Amino acid sequence: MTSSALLGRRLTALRLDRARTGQLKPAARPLTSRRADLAELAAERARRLATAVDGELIETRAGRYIRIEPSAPDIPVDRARLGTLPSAPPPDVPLVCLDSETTGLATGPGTVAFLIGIGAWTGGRFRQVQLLLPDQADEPALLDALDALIPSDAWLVTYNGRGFDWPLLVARYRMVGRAAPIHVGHLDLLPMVRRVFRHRLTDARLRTVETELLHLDRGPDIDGWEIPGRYLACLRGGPVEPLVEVVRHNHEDVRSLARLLAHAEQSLGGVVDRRGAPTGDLAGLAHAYRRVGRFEEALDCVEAALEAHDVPQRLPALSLERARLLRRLRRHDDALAAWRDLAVGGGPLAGVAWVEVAKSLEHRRRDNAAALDACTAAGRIAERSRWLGRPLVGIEADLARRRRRLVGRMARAGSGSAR
Amino acid sequence: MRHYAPAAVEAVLRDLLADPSFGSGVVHHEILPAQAARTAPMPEWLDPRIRKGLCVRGIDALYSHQAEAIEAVRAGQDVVVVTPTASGKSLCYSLPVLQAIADDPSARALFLFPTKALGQDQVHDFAELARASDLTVSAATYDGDTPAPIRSAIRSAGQVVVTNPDMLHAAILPHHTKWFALFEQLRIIVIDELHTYRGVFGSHVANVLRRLLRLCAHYGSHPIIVCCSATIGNPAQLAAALTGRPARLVDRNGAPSGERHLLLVEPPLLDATTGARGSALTLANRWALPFLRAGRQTIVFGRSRTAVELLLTGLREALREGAGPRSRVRGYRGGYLPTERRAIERGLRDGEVLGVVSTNALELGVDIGRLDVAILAGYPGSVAATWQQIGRAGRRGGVSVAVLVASGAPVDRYVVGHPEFLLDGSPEEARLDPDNLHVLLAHIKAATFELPFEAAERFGPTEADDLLAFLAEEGHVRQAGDGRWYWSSENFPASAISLRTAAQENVVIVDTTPDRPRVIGEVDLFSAQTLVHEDAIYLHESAQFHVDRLDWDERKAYVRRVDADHYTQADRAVTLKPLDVFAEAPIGDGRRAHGEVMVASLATIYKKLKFVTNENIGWGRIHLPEIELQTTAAWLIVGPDVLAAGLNGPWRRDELDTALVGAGRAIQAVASVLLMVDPLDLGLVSQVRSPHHEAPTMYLYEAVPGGVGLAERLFERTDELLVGAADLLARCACERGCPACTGARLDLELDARALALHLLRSLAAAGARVSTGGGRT
Repeated sequence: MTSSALLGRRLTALRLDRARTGQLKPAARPLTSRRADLAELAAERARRLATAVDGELIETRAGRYIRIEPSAPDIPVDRARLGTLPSAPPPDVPLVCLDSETTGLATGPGTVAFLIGIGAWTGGRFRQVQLLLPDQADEPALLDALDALIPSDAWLVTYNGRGFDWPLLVARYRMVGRAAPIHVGHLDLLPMVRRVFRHRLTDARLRTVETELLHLDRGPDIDGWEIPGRYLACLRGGPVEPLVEVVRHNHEDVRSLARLLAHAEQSLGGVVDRRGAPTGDLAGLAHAYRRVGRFEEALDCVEAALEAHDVPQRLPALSLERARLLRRLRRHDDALAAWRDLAVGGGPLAGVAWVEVAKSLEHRRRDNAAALDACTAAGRIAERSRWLGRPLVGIEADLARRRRRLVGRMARAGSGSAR
Repeated sequence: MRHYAPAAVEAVLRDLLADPSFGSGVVHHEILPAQAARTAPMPEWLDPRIRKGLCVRGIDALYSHQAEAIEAVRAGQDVVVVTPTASGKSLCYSLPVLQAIADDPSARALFLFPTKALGQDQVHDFAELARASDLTVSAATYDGDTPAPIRSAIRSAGQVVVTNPDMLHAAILPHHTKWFALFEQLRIIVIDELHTYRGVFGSHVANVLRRLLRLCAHYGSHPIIVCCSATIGNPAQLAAALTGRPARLVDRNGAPSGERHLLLVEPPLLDATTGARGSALTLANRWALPFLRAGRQTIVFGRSRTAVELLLTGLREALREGAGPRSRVRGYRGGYLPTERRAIERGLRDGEVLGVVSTNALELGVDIGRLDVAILAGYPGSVAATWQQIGRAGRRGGVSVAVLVASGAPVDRYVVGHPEFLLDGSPEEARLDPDNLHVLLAHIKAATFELPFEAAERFGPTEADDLLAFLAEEGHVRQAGDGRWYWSSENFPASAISLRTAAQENVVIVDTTPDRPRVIGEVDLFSAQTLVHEDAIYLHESAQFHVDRLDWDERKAYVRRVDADHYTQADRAVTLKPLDVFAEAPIGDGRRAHGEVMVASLATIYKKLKFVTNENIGWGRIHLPEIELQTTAAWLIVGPDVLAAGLNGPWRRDELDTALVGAGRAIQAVASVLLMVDPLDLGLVSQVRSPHHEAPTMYLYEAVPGGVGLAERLFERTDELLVGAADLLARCACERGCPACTGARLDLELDARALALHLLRSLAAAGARVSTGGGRT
């Protein structure tokens, strides 16, 4: 028996076995493998889909796709102000908001982005385009169309796009033997939300941002986990109507990207305006500025937050941050004053602050005696902390070294002057 | 008589053989003559930098097999290199890879090793040679331990990627778009330790390679495949089955070797009625001690972790050696830390360590140099493994000794009785069946996820459309408007496939010993019934675990590390019904056949057996539901001619029952030797009156869903099996059947050995009549 005949018999046996145990459900529609039938089925589905989602069916040599252009709302964004934010795109480049719906969460080549929503500004208007894939075979056409929508000098704006959407699209382009569209930058809003707004949100999902930060209600919506199943069912011959909600969901997501961007610009973009922002936002923004080395702006945010003085429990951390930023900016006298304020004020960070005061006095002022006094003050705090059962091990070790060095230096200086 | 001062190997051996307490146990003594090196000059085309690098490492000519292999690779041929341990196999692939990179730095190579540790050793050696050749080659191990930031660097810039099949299957192929730099420029694929890719694992790996080559074709590369194997019966055939392409066999070893003595020894018979013999472990230590006392480097192989510990304790006591890292006699087995292992390997190479007791962890290509003496406490289970272990002894000059001490197992008894099995090295073959339906379907899913199938595209020897249509019915794939088959599920198929088993559904084994429970392995449902039932002792990497709880519905077994003196063996009640006959032939008036069967299995009871002595120390019941297994089997239907001529007139029913079971056990033992499989991979069902055939029938089925092609081989080699099994029984020293030949005796009244022997001989005679009388139908 040839191996293929044998395989065929084994397959038949397995089929019977699965049918007997009820594991194999009957197919949703008669399986056809005639190429002409398959092509006709696909064409028919594409027409039905286009009608259902109110899109235009576009036929190209690479295949067909459905282009949907929902109405264009006004979402003004002051690009100059936006540009002042950390990691934000410069004012003169085009922005392309992008969000995709996929057939799964695995970022491997078997996962397809079947719906890609794009949004870009022309004037104040935010114009959206959605590309919907009517059949996996048509992917090259969809990717061509996407390519045409991303100018090569553009910045992408996404939500978790660095980790998910964009790598997946890069893989899709690789699968058809092409490079992904060129663009200049990528602003992923998820890290910004996590850093700046997360402290006052339930979680960092885009839906939550929409309701709790932007105070919008998109009405009935579907959950993300339902999306792949609806699309795959449709490909297997199921109804096309369930995709209408998927298209709307994607449309809302892309629009939320624009609104979130506008919100960030309005609440945080102006140096003067943002001083009124919630303390937590300012602290997060300061952190973001510091990460990209913009210490002046970080300091400005910290000082604005300290001025507001509305969240007392944040005060020590903000003061510490301020002192550190002053040191980074080489404003050593101001830094010393800040450390000293923090030290004298007591509180949980006084120990750290006294050590910093000692460092500054020893290395900047070259005042060994004063540094030793600061060490003594720090030592008292460490001692008390140990007595309370919370030893400050790092500080104790640092102090021991520092004291030895200072005492030695003073002794040498003393004996030198005596001679 | 005893050598406490350093003495030559030959002197110690001579004295031992002269001592009757040693000499009388020697069943066979073979002297393998010394062989001079056969070398070939460095090929002209080899890059001067590489030649210099070889010089630096003290190599100024190649052995003939190395030269033959690299010339073949240069000519674009796939190669399978089969030479003994420590014959310089790795140069056969290192040189072509270095040359490819010297010619074109964008060239890439992929090294596959069956285990992580071996991969790390090899990447180290390869990098040394590259450095000595002043070539900057980025060679890196990509496995589960590789940190994430390094992973992306390897993906884009790793010229030589060293990994294992599991990683290739689950992490590289399903993310090939990130690996395009590798796939586009892949020139050479190296598959080392080819002989380990057999059975279910081999069937999976063959399909992983189909997927790999399919992606290479997609990216436009045509890599050459270099396989290296220990000695097995069918290396070229195995390579072809694994890679799907013919390979040139390079098996004329050019490396020199000194004179080698191979001794097969048997422990003394203690009791003829039960067939009991002395302990193999004790005897192994008795053989090892004189060599160690004479200062000769000796390795002792034990079959289990417990055996290793027993051997080690015995040797240390006898030599008055302490324990700990300073001891000159060391243990080496799974569970030791890598640093510890490296220290022992180094100690063996530079002579600091005098003796080592090891499990088969040292069987694979770990570099420990060559030693004087190898003692094998028990047959390691396959000829390939035996030669790998024996190969550890063998200085380039001078004499070396290898001693195989038979244990009480039937397989051991058979091997010692047939030295030609070891010496001819040819009868044993490694088998795999890449077209096992369950394995094939799983990998076609993974392959579709990786790249859509064209209509009428081949996967292996056949077009995949029928299988894809089946997967479409199950909703995993769909045929799109262009006729191609696309993945159409939210799942990630590779994560659902474990290369180490065939069934789709597995029981996960969770070790609860550490604070954070961890998964240590999985077994398929069928094996789970007998391996991880509650109160079973599960052996994993030669460590013992007690199964505290088996959650059958959740498919989880919770185990705990223990140090028990026993293991468990479960009995299953098996019913079997044939579904389809693939081939059939007469045997006298009876028939033999192979085909598809349905096996229904119910685990009933388990026995607790003491290690080493196999003494029964208790039993318990197993409460698990019955499961069905669709697999392949070979069977034998006894014809009226054989039935008419029993030992005392026509066969009585009780006699026939005993004879069928005894003969079946013996065939099972011989089959496991001939086909190089674990005896547990073959199940036995004997029916005095088969409901299906209405005649006495003996089935040997594969304990793996779908089978891996063993049944077909059993069918083809029925004659050999019958003769071999009769021989095993005839040579057994017991009186009326024992666990080492016919299995435990069912009916104490009957002479199981004589009955089974008679049945086997009648069947063999009937078979011979058929083959002389005109052949198969």
